[in-house]
Amino acid sequence: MTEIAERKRNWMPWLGLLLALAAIFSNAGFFLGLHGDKAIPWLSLMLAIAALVCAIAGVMRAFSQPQVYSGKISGSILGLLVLLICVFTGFGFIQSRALPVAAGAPQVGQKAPDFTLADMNGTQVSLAQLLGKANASPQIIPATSDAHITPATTPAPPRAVLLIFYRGWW
Amino acid sequence: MRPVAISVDKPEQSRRLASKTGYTFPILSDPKAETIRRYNLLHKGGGPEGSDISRPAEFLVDSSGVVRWVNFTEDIRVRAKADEMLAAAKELK
Repeated sequence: MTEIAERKRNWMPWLGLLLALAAIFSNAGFFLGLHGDKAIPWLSLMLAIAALVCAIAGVMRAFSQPQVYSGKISGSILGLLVLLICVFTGFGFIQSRALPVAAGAPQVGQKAPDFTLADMNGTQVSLAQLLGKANASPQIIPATSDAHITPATTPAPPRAVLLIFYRGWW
Repeated sequence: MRPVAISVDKPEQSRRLASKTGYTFPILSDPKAETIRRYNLLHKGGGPEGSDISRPAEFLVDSSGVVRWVNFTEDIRVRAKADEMLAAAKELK
């Protein structure tokens, strides 16, 4: 009867899982508002790829060298989990960056196109008003029809405005 | 420098957002995305149920209406940094 040497613990799939979890948790970095956070999507992607490589290597070891390495079942389960996490990470990467190029958007030195939009109370607000320009008459247009229209008041001193275009409340 | 937020959200949605977040700056509604289009920021189908929304962008506009600083993120998870915006605003003196 041949002696069966004790098999080595197959740690590769576990390392793969660890790296895959790190890929997920790296997303928490976005909430810190750090200056280098442009790099986080790439870090996350690299961790996911490394995780997949480890998981595949681990599963291959378990199946090709079953006398040396244990973990055919655990390796397979971990491998599948890592694959799912990597697909999820990859999908997240693609979706978060699927933005149209703002090709014709106003650039530094150009005039910001004027607009008049309703604020959250329904009051019409123009860019000229926001900038406090001297020739803009800040008329308050009330929502109800029988309210008074107030005369133009003294304009506020000119000020800079930060326009923040965002995707929406959701 | 005064922040002004613009999206396709209706005023009621903006009111809810303001009460939830405590924001006091103007939040403007561009439901047909007309202004968003004029600024070339339209993200067709980028919103819930394939609705058209704005892609994220920030513009610092000086008192004469000229753009002095822009930020177009490549990733929706990477947000504009407050200190960068303030530094750009300080430069306007």
